[in-house]
Amino acid sequence: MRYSLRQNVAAEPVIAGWYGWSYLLPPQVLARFAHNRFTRIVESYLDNPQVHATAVRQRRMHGGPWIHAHEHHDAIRDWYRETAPRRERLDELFEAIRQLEEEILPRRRGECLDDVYQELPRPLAGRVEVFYGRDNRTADYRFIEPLMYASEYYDESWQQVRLRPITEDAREFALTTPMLEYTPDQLLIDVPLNSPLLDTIFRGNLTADELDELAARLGLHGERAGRFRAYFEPAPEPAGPPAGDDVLEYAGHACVFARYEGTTFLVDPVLSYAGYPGGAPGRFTFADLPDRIDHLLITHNHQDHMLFETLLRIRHRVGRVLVPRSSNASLVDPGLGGILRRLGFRDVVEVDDLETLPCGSAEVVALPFLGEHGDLRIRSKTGWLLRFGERSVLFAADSTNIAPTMYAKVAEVIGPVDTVFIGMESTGAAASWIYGPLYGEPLDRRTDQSRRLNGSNFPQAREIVETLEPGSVYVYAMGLEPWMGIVMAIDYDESHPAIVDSDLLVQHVRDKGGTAERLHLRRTLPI
Amino acid sequence: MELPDLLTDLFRRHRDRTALRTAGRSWTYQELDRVTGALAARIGRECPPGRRVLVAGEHTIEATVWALAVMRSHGVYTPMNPGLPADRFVEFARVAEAGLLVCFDRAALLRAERAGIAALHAGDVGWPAEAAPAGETTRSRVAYSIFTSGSTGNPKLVDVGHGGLLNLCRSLRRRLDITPDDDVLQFGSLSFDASITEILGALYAGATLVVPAQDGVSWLGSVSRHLAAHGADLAMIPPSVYARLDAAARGRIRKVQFCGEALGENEYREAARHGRVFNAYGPTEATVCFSLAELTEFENTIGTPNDGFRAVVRDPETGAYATAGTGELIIVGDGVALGYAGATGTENDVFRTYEGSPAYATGDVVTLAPDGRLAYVGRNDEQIKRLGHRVNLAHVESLLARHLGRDVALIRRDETILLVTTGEGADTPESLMARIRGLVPVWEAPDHVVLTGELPLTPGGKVDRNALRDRLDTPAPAEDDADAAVLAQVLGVVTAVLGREIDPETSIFDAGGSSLAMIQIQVKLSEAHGEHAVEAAFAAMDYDFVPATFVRHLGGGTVAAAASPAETLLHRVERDRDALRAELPTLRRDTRHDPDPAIGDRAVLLTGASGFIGGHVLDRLLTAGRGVLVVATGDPERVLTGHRARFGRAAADYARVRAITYAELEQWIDRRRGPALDAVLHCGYQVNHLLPLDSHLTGSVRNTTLVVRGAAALGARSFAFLSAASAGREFGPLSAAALTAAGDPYSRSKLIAEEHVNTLAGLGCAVAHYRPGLVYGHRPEDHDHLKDDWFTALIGTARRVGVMPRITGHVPVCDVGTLAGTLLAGIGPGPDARSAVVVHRTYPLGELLAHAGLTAADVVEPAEWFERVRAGGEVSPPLLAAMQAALSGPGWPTAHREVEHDILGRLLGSVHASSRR
Repeated sequence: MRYSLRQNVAAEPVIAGWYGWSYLLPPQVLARFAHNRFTRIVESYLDNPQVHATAVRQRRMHGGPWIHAHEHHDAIRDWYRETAPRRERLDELFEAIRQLEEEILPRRRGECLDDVYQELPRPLAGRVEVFYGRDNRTADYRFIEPLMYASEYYDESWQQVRLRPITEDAREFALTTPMLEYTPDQLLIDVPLNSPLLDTIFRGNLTADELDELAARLGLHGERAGRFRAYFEPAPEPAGPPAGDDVLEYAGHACVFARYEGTTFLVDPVLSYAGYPGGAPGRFTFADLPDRIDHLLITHNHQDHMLFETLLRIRHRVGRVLVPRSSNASLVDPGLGGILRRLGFRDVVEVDDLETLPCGSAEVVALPFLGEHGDLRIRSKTGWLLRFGERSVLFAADSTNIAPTMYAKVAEVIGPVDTVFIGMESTGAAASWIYGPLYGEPLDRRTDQSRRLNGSNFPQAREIVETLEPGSVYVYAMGLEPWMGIVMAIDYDESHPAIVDSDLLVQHVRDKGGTAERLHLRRTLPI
Repeated sequence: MELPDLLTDLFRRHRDRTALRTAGRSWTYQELDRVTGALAARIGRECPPGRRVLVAGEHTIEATVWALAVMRSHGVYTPMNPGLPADRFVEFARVAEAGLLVCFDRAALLRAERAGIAALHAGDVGWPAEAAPAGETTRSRVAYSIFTSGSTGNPKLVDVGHGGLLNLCRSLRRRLDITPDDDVLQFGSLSFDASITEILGALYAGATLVVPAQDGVSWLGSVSRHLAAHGADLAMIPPSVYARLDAAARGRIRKVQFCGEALGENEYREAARHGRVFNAYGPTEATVCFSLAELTEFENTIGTPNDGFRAVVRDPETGAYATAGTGELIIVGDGVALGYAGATGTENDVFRTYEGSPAYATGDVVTLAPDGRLAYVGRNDEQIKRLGHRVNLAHVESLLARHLGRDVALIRRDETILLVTTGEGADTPESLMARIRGLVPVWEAPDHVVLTGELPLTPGGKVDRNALRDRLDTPAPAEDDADAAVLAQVLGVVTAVLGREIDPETSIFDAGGSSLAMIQIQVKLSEAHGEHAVEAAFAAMDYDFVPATFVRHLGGGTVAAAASPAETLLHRVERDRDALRAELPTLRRDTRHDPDPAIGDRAVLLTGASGFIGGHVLDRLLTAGRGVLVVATGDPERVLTGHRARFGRAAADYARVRAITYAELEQWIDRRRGPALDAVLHCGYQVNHLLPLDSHLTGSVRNTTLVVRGAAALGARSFAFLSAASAGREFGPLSAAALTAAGDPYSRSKLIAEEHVNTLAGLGCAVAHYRPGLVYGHRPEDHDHLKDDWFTALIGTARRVGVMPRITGHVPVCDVGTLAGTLLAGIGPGPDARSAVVVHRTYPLGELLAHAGLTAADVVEPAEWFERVRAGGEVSPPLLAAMQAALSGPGWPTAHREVEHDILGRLLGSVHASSRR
């Protein structure tokens, strides 16, 4: 008898006690989140749990800084107390960054920066480079990211995985609640996120002995080992290789699977689970993936496009990962390649604007992606153009058509596009919702609200469509699927601007005789 | 050169010229040389060398002569205000360690005696005829001393050395272009150092210093009458004083050098009408005048440093010095004063050295441009940090005073900023606060507005902050209103959570609070008012907590239903409009106009040139030979080539046309530079009755706002806006009712755009809105523009299917040629620039039937008609939806025939002609 992880058991990544995503992995960014967001969340909670209970009840407050497990006051209090030394270490780094940004650099107004290196606080000494910005007077800096990962502030022992059964499609917002073992069916395992043991868990097909050994290597004994084993079930006979027809398979949100002449692609993986009653019929789940994903493509570093939870679970199937090139190494734009390598992906290739890469039977071009990042200096974003023989498919993600002539110029370089997938969350959250803890000083409300994580609205999307003239247009990445609630907080109704805008676009394309649809849950499309 | 030598030298150089004049009396330089020499000798006998000589007189020729005499003596010239109370006099004399008092009234002799100081009464001394030969004596390193008030209110003295005087004289002569033929007004009190520049500036150049005769109680009145009668070539005068001169007096000043205060645009404009205008800046501590600019247009500059000075700015946070940028002005040069006598504590720390030269830290924040020009920003010590931003209270105060059109004082109490103003008119603290929020960012907005009686003033005419603080600290009678008690309790909770107070009408988020803080407040309020009621009130506010609104919701939710969508929209529009209105004057003031030879300086800005109407307007402008600045949403060159093809024009016709994008226009506005405009014709607007209002607001209305800002910045004198008849027939103030009546989003957005355009009237720009009906007159080349036209499509469809929907009322139609003429007249100089609904002709159902070749029997109800047409599937859904939207309205109520020709008939005829081809 061989055993595999049950299809309804989620393995949630945990970093420093919080739901793991890109901005918690680089220690310098984690230090900012810990100090500026997490401490405030927990301390306000310990001060008065009722505040959080009240907020969680309000739809309007959804996605805010609230602890959802508000009934577990004592567990959270104990955990917070025990983890104080870790916070102290991160606070050292936080303070060093604060000194650099607020005291050391502002004193420089254009003169030589050599002496800054003598003044650097210890946590940053030898780990940053300083230089002047565009005006040649405002000093700026970058992290030497591999050295930050090699420092005492990046500690793999702060990484864990929490196993627990999933009972419905909808997931609760996870970014603001400490990831503890709140109920007996949850199991928190100390294991680095890059550990091959995780691949063993997810690959499954283990004999009883191998399962026992796996539990032991994960440091699980007695009752905990039993709980771990209970997450496994007898594995079905491995099926033969699935049919290799060419296909485009929309799998929810921005996740699209493609197979062309035997080469497989997966874009922006975020997948739902199976094995519980009441799920949306026909949805695309992990079970629908082939054994091998030759190319994994990430459009940008937002948690709804780069979800650690899904990435870890499919890691053992992935060949190469393509990511947009990151060059800033700043707090708001940590290197995407570095993050994926620390996440255990070995073959990561960074691609820059309009570079073309042969990928098996197909060809991939990285297209410039503007907007949706609150005008922050962030380079880690790209639209992916996949050329399947004569046909081409663009995954534009949340690229906003804010520079109206850009797509026309791109079109001159890349030629016609047959199918466009475009995100139209036309009124997104203020950028501070993600990046707020990284801001040096808060923006006033009006400014803050003007800088949003907006996808294209109708006129912008129409402009893209009219420029690229695709035969098919699919609106996607709207956060409509219930499982996206784990990292997103959008209350949709039919009057929501994103729905109105995307309805208009769909109508517009159809009026012109094209194919158009706002995708939801799952859709099988021809290439 | 030391001051006595400087004077001796100039007296000898100019000998026979007239140095000093007052009513009925004048002195040549030679005479002045003799008399001041004799008086200086007399002073030398009465006062030990190097001691200060107080001169307590002003506004008379005697006082001026004595002042010059003291300057030539071995004593130190120290003017003092003759009007000081007796005990203050003693204090001033003590601080000055005076060796002698020169006075002009006998009461002062008694005071001097009481203070134990030797005194000379000018009248007793008279004018000695001959100078006694003066022996060589040691001179003080102090050239003169001027009283100023120290931080404790005690008098302190600025000791000014000799080092900057010659440079001052030379700079004034050169930069103010003072010639020996000039009459220079002696306006300033001798106790203010501005009088030093008047006296030395005039005499060094060999000009005549003129002291008006005081012929009444008020000095200003005397000066006004003097100027009206005699004029002056040069007056050095603060802007606020200039503004109080009679118009007749202002008209007779050939050169005005403003000093002492920030120069406003009104004073500049007035002065520029009559002559040359200069703006000077300088603290007493830098030998009166540090920098100077001649202004040929109004701009915020205090010019460049005078000879011998240079400017450095110091970063208030890092203490780093720079030769460009914004920071505290550090004056460097030999003209920096020697220091304060009678200073306490660290007051003398402002005097330092920079690169080996004397330097003075002014406490003034300036922006120093790389070309050396300086702009005054405000006082350093009025800067505070709020919400992470540096805020200059004086700056904000003057800005708010200007925009609110009333005297205001910003009073700082701990962390709270109060705006105090007189309670007048219908303004309430809330209404004022709402306006303020539209004028300044939240960190510059005061926390509370307090209405009070007249603002207390200091003797100098400024707001007496100390008196005001005392008044505010006196508790006001308590309101026994229940809501007030609840509000006080709510504000208490807010203060406890946020750690500071917020204005009751301010959103917690505007006050820098977080959602966490808001829910903490919600939970605390629940303890007092019940969880359910508080939750309902928060939900009614859509979780945007405003203390006063919360109290209103809690008290029965009456406000919940009050704000209709139209009212909410109206508030939003008003807020945007107020912000725009506040911005326009600064745009007009600060924007420099670079001549553009192609379009000239009387150009017309035209939008919408690629549209049907805009294209015809451009054609007319080309025919008229006007310079045109075309602003386009798309590729500007393509707009022009498209127009050329459409109107069959030659490339040369466009020699005086320049085409840019809206983005370029915005850049010009942001950079405050661009060509000058004469007028604006704003025809560019996306005509689509189906788009949601938000799309119009972020599209065409936003573009309209941009064009309005452009009109302000580039100096347009008139603005014609192509609106729409569907916006309504009345041109009243914008109201929720008008917005509701306009119905569809497109028409509403036109009303909103009109409201934004109206803000230009505040600049004196003539604004006219033209609301046309359906505009036709298409030539075959224009037929692309009929593609999306619902009305011709409807007639065509009716003709095709043989059935006409029942149309109520009339259909208002315009002729494009006539309309273009109206628009052009609207930017002309005549009285034609008046908003109007433009309808040249209306068509009733009967006429439409005739045009469609149908009869009354072919009319069906609209619902049935649409059903049929939809089933036919030949009309595109958007066009169908547009027809449906148009027919859902009431229709035009009255028949109208302004033009004889059949606009529609011609068009439909030509449609056939072209479709047959």
